[in-house]
Parts: sequence; structure tokens; C-alpha cells
Amino acid sequence: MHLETGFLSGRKRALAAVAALTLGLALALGGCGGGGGAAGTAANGGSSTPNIDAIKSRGVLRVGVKADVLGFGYKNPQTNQYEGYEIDIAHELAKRLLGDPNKVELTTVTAKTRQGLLDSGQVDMVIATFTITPERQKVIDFSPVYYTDGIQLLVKRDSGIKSLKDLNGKVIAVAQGADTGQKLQEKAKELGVTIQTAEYASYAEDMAALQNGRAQAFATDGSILKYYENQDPSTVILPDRYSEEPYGIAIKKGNKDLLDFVTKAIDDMKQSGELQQLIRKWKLSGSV
Amino acid sequence: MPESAPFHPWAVLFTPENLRFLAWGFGVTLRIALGAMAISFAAGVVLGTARFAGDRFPESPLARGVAALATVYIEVIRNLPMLLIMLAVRFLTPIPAIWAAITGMSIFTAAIMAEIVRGGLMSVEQGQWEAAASQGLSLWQTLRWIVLPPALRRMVPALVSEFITITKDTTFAWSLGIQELLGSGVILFNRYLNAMQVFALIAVVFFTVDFLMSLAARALERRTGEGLATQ
Repeated sequence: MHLETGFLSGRKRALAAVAALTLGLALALGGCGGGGGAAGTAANGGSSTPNIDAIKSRGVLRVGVKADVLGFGYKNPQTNQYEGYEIDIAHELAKRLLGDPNKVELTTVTAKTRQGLLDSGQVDMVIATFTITPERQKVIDFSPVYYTDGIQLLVKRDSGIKSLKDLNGKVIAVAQGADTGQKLQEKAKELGVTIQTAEYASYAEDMAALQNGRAQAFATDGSILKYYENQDPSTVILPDRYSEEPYGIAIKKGNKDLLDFVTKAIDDMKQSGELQQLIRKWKLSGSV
Repeated sequence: MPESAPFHPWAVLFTPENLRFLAWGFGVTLRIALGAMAISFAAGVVLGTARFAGDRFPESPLARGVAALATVYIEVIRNLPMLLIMLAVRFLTPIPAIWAAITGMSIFTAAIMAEIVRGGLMSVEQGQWEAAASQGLSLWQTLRWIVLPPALRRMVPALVSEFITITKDTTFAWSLGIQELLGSGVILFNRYLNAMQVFALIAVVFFTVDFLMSLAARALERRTGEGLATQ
């Protein structure tokens, strides 16, 4: 009944339809320019990116953060608010730039969106467990490292295992597709011990392998292990680190004044011990 | 930092805060779904009618032109992945993320809806149009009283299955960083590492909503069917 009479009336619906149609056609005709790559980026570099003045006149710093990484960027179900080390850094940058730590607009980013939102100017920067790599540095500018993660080992507390050396002849559970196993094998070779690695499809399966004795250790980035250690009090993370994963704040290429500001802020926060303090506050296992 | 895990793996889902958190995400899911349904249906009616007009009135250059535009839109859009369109809207427009999701879904689904609408209109026999014209009914009167009632009734099953698809496809919004029901679930899962429980609950919610929608559609079909028989 409703369908028959409500159909085609409603001016709002018609307007919405026209809007959607127009936008759709515009996208269909002009939306294929995404593949421009480095040449395109270089050509418009700098001229249209939001700089510090734009942020100041807007009055709010827009930061892309994670919503599902505990300790770094996480929506607390109790409060529905973001919290974590990276969130604190975002507030601190807003304070330094705009004089008020709350003048920050946080947007959830995912692996799919973090670079696109940065390139399209929807966010001024991304602070979202973004590892600095040479390939990424070609298309994104990074702040100095604000956190260094690395491969660590989670073992049973009562196993007596203290380091990789003690795992001679034992099995280490690692994630499928990660280079964790390879890096550990290299370290083991240096130490003159032989280890076996077993690949599992998810961290939860790695954890299960450790818990039921199919593996004597579970290896991945320390900050990930941290949460498994919290889940199971019979396990403990060993202090040694077997690789380096430097996290940086990502800024659109060519946005030089903003990069200079962030670089100085991170260096300051390192010098003053503020970052180390935040790492302790969030009980993270990595270092600056 | 996370407290140690509650005693029972299912218990964590049913604490008031966690339920509220999931309910909040479900609210976002509903907003995206209802928004996309309304916009894509309206746009689909416009597009589908436009394309149909070209078939119905081949002698009119205006109808043919409009139909050609609608055809290009439909054929281009429905052959693209919806997530690609959603990401394009997210990156190319300054609108808030949730509206980017709604718009992206609508742009895609309008093309599907348009074909449903066109199919419904085409299902009304040529003779009905001719009979109406011979009675001196205007185009609008013909549509309103002769063509649309049976056409809409025939569209209902396909429209409802598209509405169900929309509801399920709202989960793409999490890829855009929008915290809908699935997003809330992923966040909880990261805290409690209880993937099985969280995702089972989410599956039950989607199943219930979609199943109720198909039940409602069946009831609607029966009612309108009987209405026709008794007229």
C-alpha cells in the first residue's frame, strides 16, 4: 500500500535521487584518475594541501587513527571514546598547534583508507601504527619515529625459557605470511641454535598452539603479544627484541610546514621524556 | 588497558556496556541501511523509469536521450565493485564518512533498483497502455491507475531481496572506518579475543533483521494480492 501511494511523491526523495544520479555520473566520468601515481602527486604537490594556516583557521586538527588496536588507537566500549598512545599524541599535537588538546577531530582509518584519506586531504595526518618503509616514503612523508615495535617471544611462565637461545630444538608459532619466522631463523643462526617455526593462519591459533604445547613460544610484534599475555596470566613476554618496526606519523607528501611542525613536536616529546611516559602509561612493550 | 578476561567467553557479550556498544553500532548499521534504501529506491525509480521511457516512446527524441543517459549509468555502475564506489565517494567528497557510505551504496544500488523498476514496468502488457490511451487517460493517469499498481506488486520480491542485500552490505562501511555493527564487534573481539562469540551474535542479528524483512515482504505480497482479487 505504502509503496503504491508514496511512490514518486516526496520532493526530498526526488531531490536525493537527482543528487545521487548527478554525483554518480560525475564519478563514472571523472573518477578514474586515481592511477596517476607518483607523477600526479608530484605535479600538484604542495599547492593545494592544507597547511598549518588552514588548520588554524579551521580551528581543528583532523587526525586519522585506529579504532581496534588496543593501547594505540582503540574505541573503549565502556565510553565509546578513542583512547591509547596514539590518541594521546594526537591530543598533544592539537595542544601545541591550536592551544587546546581537545581541538582534534579523530577519524577511524583502516588499511584500505588511511592513505586515500591522507591524499584526498580529508585528514591532516595519520597516526595509526603506520610502519615507516622505504616504499611508503616515496609517496608519504613521515615524522621521526614515535614508537619502535619489534618481534618478541611469548612463552609459558613456568617453562624456564629466557631467550631465543633456550628454544634450541623447539617450535615457535608465527603468523602465516609474516616474515617473522625468517627473521628469527637468521637470529637463531647467529646464536648457533636450531629452531623450528610453525605457521598459523591467525594470532589466536598461534596462541592456542602455545597454550596446548604444540609450540614452546609464540613470536610476533611485542605490542600484539601484549594483549595475549594479558589474556593468559600463565604466559610472559621475553624482553629481547629480534627486529625493528618503526612507527611514524604520516603526512601528505609535500606538506612541508606541517611536517616540520610534527617533526619538531615529536623530537621535543622524545627529549622531554613525554613519549616514554606515555609508553609506560599504556603499558606498551616497545620503545621510542 | 584490558582487564583480564571475564569468566565465561559468552559473558563478555552480555555486560551492559558491551551490549550498549554493539547496539550503538547496530544503530549506525540501521541508519546506513535505511538511508541507502530510501535514496537508492528513489534514484532507481527515476533511472528505471527513464530507461523504460526510451522503450515505451521510441518516437520521442527526449525519451530516447534520457533513456540513453540512464542506460549508460546503469551499465557502468552495476559492473563496478560497490566497495570501489564507496571508497571513491569517501575520498572525493568532503561529506561525513557515514554519508559517504550511504551515498556510495546508493549510487551502486540505484543501478540494480533501476533494472528492477524497469522490469516491473515492462511486465505490464502493451494492451493495458493502449486500452488506457483509448479511454483518454493522460500519461500520468495511465501510470498512476493502470500501470504502477501491478508493476509495483511484481517488483516487491526483487525489491525486498535488494533491501536485504543492502542490509548485509552495510558491513562494507567498516572498511571505510565507520563503526557499524561489524565494526563494534571487531573492536570487542580485539579486547576479549572471543571472535566466535562476537561474530555469532552479529550473525544472529543480521539473520533476524533480514528474515523479518522477508516475512514482511511475503505478508505484503499476500495482502496486495488479495486486494487485487477482491477488486
